[in-house]
Amino acid sequence: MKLKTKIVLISFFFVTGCFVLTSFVNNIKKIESAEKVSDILYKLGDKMSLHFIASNKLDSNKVNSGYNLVTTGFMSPNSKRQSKHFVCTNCHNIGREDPDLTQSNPEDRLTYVAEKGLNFLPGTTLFGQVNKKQWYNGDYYKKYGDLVVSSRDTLENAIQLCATVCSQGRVLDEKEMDAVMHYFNSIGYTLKDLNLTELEKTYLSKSLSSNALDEDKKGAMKIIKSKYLDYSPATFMEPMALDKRRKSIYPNPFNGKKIYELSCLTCHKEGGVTNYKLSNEKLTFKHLDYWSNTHKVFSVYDITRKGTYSKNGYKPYMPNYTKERMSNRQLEDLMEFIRQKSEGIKLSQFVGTPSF
Amino acid sequence: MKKLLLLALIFYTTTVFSQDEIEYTYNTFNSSRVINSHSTEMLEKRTMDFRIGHRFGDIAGAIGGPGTLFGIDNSADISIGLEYGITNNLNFGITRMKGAGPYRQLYEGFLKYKILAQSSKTPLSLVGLIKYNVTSMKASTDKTSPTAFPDFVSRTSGSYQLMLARKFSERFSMQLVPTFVHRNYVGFNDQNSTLAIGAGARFQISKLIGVIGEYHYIFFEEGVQDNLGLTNPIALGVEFDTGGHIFQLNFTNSRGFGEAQYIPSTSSSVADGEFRFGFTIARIFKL
Repeated sequence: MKLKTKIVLISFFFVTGCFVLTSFVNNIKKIESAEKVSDILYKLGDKMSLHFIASNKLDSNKVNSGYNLVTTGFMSPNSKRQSKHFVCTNCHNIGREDPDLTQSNPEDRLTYVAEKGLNFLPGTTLFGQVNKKQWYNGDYYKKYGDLVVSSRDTLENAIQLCATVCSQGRVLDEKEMDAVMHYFNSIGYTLKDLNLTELEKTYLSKSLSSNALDEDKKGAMKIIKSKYLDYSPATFMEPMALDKRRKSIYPNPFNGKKIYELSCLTCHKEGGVTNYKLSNEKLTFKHLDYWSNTHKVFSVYDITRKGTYSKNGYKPYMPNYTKERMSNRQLEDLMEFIRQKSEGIKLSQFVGTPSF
Repeated sequence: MKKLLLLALIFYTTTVFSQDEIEYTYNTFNSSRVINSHSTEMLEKRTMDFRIGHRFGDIAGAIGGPGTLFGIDNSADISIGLEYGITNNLNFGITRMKGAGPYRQLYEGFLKYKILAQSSKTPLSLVGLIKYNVTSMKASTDKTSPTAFPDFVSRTSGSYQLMLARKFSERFSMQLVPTFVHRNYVGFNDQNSTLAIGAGARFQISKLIGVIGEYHYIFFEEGVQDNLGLTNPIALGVEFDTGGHIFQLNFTNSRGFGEAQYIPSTSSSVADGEFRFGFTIARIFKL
């Protein structure tokens, strides 16, 4: 065979090989990190919830209306206010608040929200709510009884319960609910929120290709779902017994300061949603410090764990903090901050041998 | 030159920075009233204040003492009113008062505007108040009576106040209150226009409990005070803030609510035991 013929044949096989290889590679869809988790699950053939709206179907006007309703209580300037007492963001963030979506750890959350400029609130963030499968979980039955039954598996029902009972407002009409659903879907988890490894990403890409096996798709769904909690655990706690209070070793008043500012003052600041105002004045801290040794309504230990209840003549009430939203350790940090401020001393964390 | 420029830059940055960091002073007083007079406190936007006030009879003196359970059997004045925050700086309110002076069955409306708010940049709060009163009582057939009311205008009166307040510390606040009251129809020897200068103060004992007091000096026209036996209103009280409710318990020599009553018509003398127990309950609602 002549050299020229050899070169032609080698070139032919090389080009054909490259073509075949390129076709195969193109069949593996490259996934974008900004892609919504719900969209990917949908493409993988997962059974979607009633509230699912694909990203390409999201209406930007509805998303904006939903955002307005969630943050201001009004869907548009001419619409009726949803609640005269609260807006959703009084109790819920709208951004990511947990560094690890598989955990509901209040201590990690406090550090994270403080860095991100968010609040430390009693309700779960609305970010990623569309990726959940259950709402009003755990001990919320103790507070709301049968009201939670229909809200546990349907996001729309959970929102209506929150709208009418938690915020003591009115039921959302069809248009408003539609707008909220569009907004919630717009703030669902994206792939980059899941912190996938490169290997997992490759596997996911392969599973999204048209010739992927069903087992691969199921495997990919399993990987995705293992990266976040599809419910928010809720464990109610009894207020700490009087003789157990202030027994924490090395309480951190700096964390307490964060809690006071990002949690308490959110509602109790001047211009906040409640009539019971707190401030950074020594008198306020003395008052909180004094009552904390009791089981009365002004006791931070008690009000945090029990909240208040709606009553005739004054409907708005304070929600309780579950174990997953504020730990007892954090409560002690808060009380240490209050104690030091009430004594007018410079904040400091005790390091050494505890005296008890 | 470089140093000068650097100093100028530091000064400029400090100024710009401090402009962004204005800290407002809140809770100069606990309620929109000190005792009788308004305070610089405003209702927040979309907030309603429902107020009920009561002034009993004289504790001592001719009609006081144990016989009337130190005035509890008698009622000098009763008021019931609603106030509303249109914005954080503009409030309005309407009140119905029994009336304690010559004029009874009074309706009162007011507009209150916050002109200045005490902050890290402003040392004082300044609030203006305009009130208008009308009485619905039956006109007297005695043409010499101050309640003869020949026309509608004679049933009305107005009062104008400026409240200049400062919160000196978290415990102590004080305000100065120049007041001008004009009554369109008054009795013989009385004066239509009355000017007064008042002072009110609050000392906070704890977060929930404060001691409040106020005094108004009235500039009477010659002979009016002696002819009608008028005195300067003074009041002392305690207030409890329970977070939503404000309870004020007070002792005062003025019988009536509202500037058009307590400024020109106070005639009780504390020295003669003519002072009374009173209370006000205020409840704030979000609307």
